[in-house]
Amino acid sequence: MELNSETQLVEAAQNGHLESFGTLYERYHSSMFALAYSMLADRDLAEDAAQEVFARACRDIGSLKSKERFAAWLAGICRNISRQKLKANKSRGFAPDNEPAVVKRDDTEDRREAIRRAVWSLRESERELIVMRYFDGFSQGQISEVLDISSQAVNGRLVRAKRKIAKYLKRNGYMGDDYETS
Amino acid sequence: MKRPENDKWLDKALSETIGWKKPRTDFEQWKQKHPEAVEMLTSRADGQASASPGPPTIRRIIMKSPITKLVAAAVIIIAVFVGIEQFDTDSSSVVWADVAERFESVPFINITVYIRKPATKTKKIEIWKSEDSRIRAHEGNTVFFADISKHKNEFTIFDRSTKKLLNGDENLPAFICTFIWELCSKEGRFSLDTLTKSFPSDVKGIIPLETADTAASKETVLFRAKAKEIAPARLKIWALRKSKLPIRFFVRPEGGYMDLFFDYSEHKEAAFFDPVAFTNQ
Repeated sequence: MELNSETQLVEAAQNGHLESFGTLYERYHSSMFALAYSMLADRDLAEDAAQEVFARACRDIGSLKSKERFAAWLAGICRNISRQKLKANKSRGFAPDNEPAVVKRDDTEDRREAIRRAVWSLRESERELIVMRYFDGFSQGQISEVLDISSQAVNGRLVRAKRKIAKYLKRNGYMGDDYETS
Repeated sequence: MKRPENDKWLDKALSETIGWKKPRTDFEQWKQKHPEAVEMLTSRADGQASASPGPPTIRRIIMKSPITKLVAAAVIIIAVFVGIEQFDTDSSSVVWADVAERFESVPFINITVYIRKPATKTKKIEIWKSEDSRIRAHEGNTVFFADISKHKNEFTIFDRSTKKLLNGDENLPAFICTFIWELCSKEGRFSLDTLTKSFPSDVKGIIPLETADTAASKETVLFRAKAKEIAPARLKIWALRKSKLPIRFFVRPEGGYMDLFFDYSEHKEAAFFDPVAFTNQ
């Protein structure tokens, strides 16, 4: 039998069907990476966290009652693991509000750094959205599934977060025109 | 400067900065790196754990002798009576998940919301939700209609006195629509969990808050946010102990506040939620 629906896949994985778990892995690895990256701001740590998420999911999948909320359940595990990693790596991370960004309009890397700082100055929930949206171009529906909020709320929060980023960049000497012309 | 709405440059900048290198998704490699996890999952298939006889359990030891069986039965009966007695007065028996679930299951509801944003006056919003997830809301002289079961980001908005359609009017208080969507779960129900998720991200959960008034705490249970950034007094939720229904939700973000009062007694007819019926009145 071909397993298509998510609940079927989850149920099969709960019964020890490795192939179904593999399909779920392929489906959500990238979004778990993005979620972890939004918290850890470090690719290697995010990759470790994403790997660990699925190892823990293997262990605990039997305890998942609402099969249709698999993505949100996975995201919960991912947040916990990322927080633990964050604690263990306190020295890492950005401090966008304490350090003024150095603006060199002809320097791409500095400009990227300013954008990164703007993103990591957001609240965690907004940062998750921004990273998921722009990291791999996740649709509002996919983001809604993983973050367990309605797609209307995704849209509203995305708009608000982008406004904050634009404000931050403006405050630090970047504008849209500058970006386009450089 | 460009208007904030024209943010294609920002989309481009964010895509280039955040999405410059995608991770590699390779389940085969993951399996090789995590043999224990794979073993744990596949062992569920053949029920290895349940098949093995294992060491003798307390249950097995008790059930061997008729005397121990009787003693165990007596202990269970006493425990049940003590438990019932405790349950009547126990202040820790209501957890947030019960309250959130109960709230989502109510068929209809009326919510009165008082909102004050920084440097603005307090606004009052009245919201009603029907059994079939239709919404009507009033704010000042504006009336909003929506159908959250269809889950479209659409509102029909009228001037309450002239009944003139206002959709597209730039001066509309758009925050009301946003607020109502913040209340809606994906399943088209009102959800306090969804609402709390719209607050600062460091809300790690909602936990009971001890109250000094023991008489009041027999009837109601008070909750607060478990968070670093939000002080206990900044988010409070009151619920009835017996029915587990929330009756008030208060949050005080920086420079403003939002106070929600819930009423489950007022049932409105279908026509009340119908924009066509409203204009024909």
